Amino acid sequence: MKTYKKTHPISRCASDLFLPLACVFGCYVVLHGSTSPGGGFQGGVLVASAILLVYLGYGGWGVKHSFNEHMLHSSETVAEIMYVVIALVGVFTGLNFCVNFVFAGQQVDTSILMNDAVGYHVMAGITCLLIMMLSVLEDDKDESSQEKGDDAA
Amino acid sequence: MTFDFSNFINNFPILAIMSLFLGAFVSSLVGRRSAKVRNTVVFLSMLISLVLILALIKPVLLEGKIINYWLGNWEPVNGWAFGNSLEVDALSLFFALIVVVAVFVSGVYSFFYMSHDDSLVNYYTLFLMLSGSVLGLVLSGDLFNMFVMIEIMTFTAVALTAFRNHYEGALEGAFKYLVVGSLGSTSVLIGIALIYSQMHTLNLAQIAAMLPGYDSPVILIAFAFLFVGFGSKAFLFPFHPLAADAHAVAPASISLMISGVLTKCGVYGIIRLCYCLYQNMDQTFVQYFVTGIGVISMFVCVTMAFNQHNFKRLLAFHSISQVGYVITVIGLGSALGMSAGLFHAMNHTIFKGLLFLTAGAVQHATGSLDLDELGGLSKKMPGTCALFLIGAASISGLPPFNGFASKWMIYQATFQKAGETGNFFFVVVCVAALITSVLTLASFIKVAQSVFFGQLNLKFANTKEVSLGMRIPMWILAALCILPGLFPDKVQQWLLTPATQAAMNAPGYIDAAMGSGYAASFAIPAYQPQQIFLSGAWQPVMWLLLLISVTLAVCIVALLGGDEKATVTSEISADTDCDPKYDSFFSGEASVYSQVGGSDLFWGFKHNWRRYFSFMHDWHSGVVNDYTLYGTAAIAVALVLCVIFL
Repeated sequence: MKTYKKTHPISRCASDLFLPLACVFGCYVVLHGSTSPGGGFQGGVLVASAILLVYLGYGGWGVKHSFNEHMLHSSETVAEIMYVVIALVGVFTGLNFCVNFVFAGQQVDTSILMNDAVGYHVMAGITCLLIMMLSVLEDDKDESSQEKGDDAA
Repeated sequence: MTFDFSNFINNFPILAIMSLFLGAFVSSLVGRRSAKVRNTVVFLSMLISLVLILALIKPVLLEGKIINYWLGNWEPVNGWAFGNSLEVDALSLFFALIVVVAVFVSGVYSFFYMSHDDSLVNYYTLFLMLSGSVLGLVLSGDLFNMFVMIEIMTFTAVALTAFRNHYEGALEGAFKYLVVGSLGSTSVLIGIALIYSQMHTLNLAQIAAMLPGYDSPVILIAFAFLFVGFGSKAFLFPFHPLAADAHAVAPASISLMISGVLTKCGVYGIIRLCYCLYQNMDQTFVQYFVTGIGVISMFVCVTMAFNQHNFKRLLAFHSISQVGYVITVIGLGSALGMSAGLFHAMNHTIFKGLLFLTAGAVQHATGSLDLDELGGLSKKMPGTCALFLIGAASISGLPPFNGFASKWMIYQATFQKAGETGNFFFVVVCVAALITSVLTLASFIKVAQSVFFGQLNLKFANTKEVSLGMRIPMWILAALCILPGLFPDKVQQWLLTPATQAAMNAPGYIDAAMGSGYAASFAIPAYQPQQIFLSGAWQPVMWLLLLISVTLAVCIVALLGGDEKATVTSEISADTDCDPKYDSFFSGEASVYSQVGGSDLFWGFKHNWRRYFSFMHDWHSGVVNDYTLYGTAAIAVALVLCVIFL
């Protein structure tokens, strides 16, 4: 049974190998955004770029079967709401909007949470964009129709 | 901890902005399932922002407080503003009021107007983001934040213009808006970058303190870039063809936003630029420059409106023409001019919004916007017709509507300026303003004749009046047309005087942000409040009484005349049933349906001006390359003029 276009084993192995690395590195950049260079946007883009590895390894079929576009879209809005709510916490504790307050006795401040929200948002948003762009390519469909033509011949 | 309301009121501006943005996100999350939930979320977010901005009227407009809000409590250190701030003075609040009222009316109208379209979640998300960005722009105290908000505003407006992408030309109009709008945004960005390179700060108040005493050619170039950028957002000449293309295809509620709110952002930007940042409005060159651009926009657009056959395209050209009025008087540099400009800006949002909504109602009911095709709708849609007449009377400056009150002030401001300076240029400006008003009236007679009066096209025999939900927002705007026209002195006292004084009071703006004495340390003289002096008296109530009594007299005469219709009996025919065969001009044939086309009503005028009109026709080629070229040329000309004369 042929379910997807067979890509070269080297590219599949390479994508298997680098996919977790890309995700972990992206998450690292997001989580350390408040103390080191990088931050939510850059880390989010790194994680989102993992979809390109999936595409290289498994083609359009792999992308279609491993991502739920609707879910990603909802995640994007959830992340936006998260950002605004975290920023609004400042107003309702008697300080200003976006204020960077510290939870009592803990080394966590709002800039970390805001970075996470931005990272989440960018990850979901860029993934959605990339899925849209990749669906324009539609290489699987062309291939299969061509194969059918070959079989008939 | 006791709840301190007077301190908490400082949070209102940011909460009003965030309520709109949060509404956009929440409606996109929960609105896919049920339309009711989505509409509730949208309505609540608009209502909250409206209430929060209205609550600021008392402290800011009436008591003269300037709210300065540092995001994240990043206050200035040693006279340097590092943080991002919102600064709400009376001028910002005046524009914010225009924005929230227009957003509320447009949103309520969309619930009914857009109900037949699909993917409405996207529409409301974009709509609320557009509203939030515009509100953020006028309340911002930071130059770069203004740019960010301009970008959000432009891109959401482009997307909404193309929302009904099945219309012919929707994508084309949006594409033109995207390309040339981006040219304007880039111009703003270059201006900001140049200012930042010289001033090393982005806070409006701090720049305003440092700029006037700073002598460098770079800031002159920055002035040209910023002016053209903000001007492009107000669709001033030569950016006006964009507005026509975008308005003709956008949904009516979005046309209201683009004409009523987006152009006001450009006006706000120009006021802040000339009066607050550079404080160079007393220089003769700047007065000529700003007023000149205003007069050209005013006159070119009103003549362009004559040639239009599409209802909304015509309204779009009038919209730019009215913004031209606003820019003209703002360029005079006098307190009365400023006051008149702000009043007209407010009135323009109201009456142009009303006219666009009636155009939307006509489109909703008949499916057409073609002036040559429509006709006789007053019998089918009496309510819409009455609303249209109120809007048309307002924009043409007929008493007792609001358009008259503000145009009266505009004439007086230009007249006074001409009298004070003895300069022939301002005499021409005054005359041009009067002529433009006459042409506006002529143009709206044409629209009224070809849409609501005249013969009914048989195609639209089954037209029904639009629903109550669409008429209520229009009646709100109609009431807002009448009230300021009846009580201009109250509007002057509560809204215009505080906003005018705030616009001219740059030292006060600086001190509120950077601490008192900051402006004085940069040798900016303290502000002396200027008197707003009206030389002519005007009593709208007396005029209203006169109007009512004349109308009553006409009605009585008409009623006394009896019910029978006046008919011309043919002298040839002896029969009572007037056979058309004996009529002197019709040789026995029954008359055919003939709509006196909207384009033909002023045939003589257009014939006399045919060279001008054919030149303008060729000039508005509709090619995006040409429009980009005009925009670039505008930047080039502004640069040359500013470097030579400023």
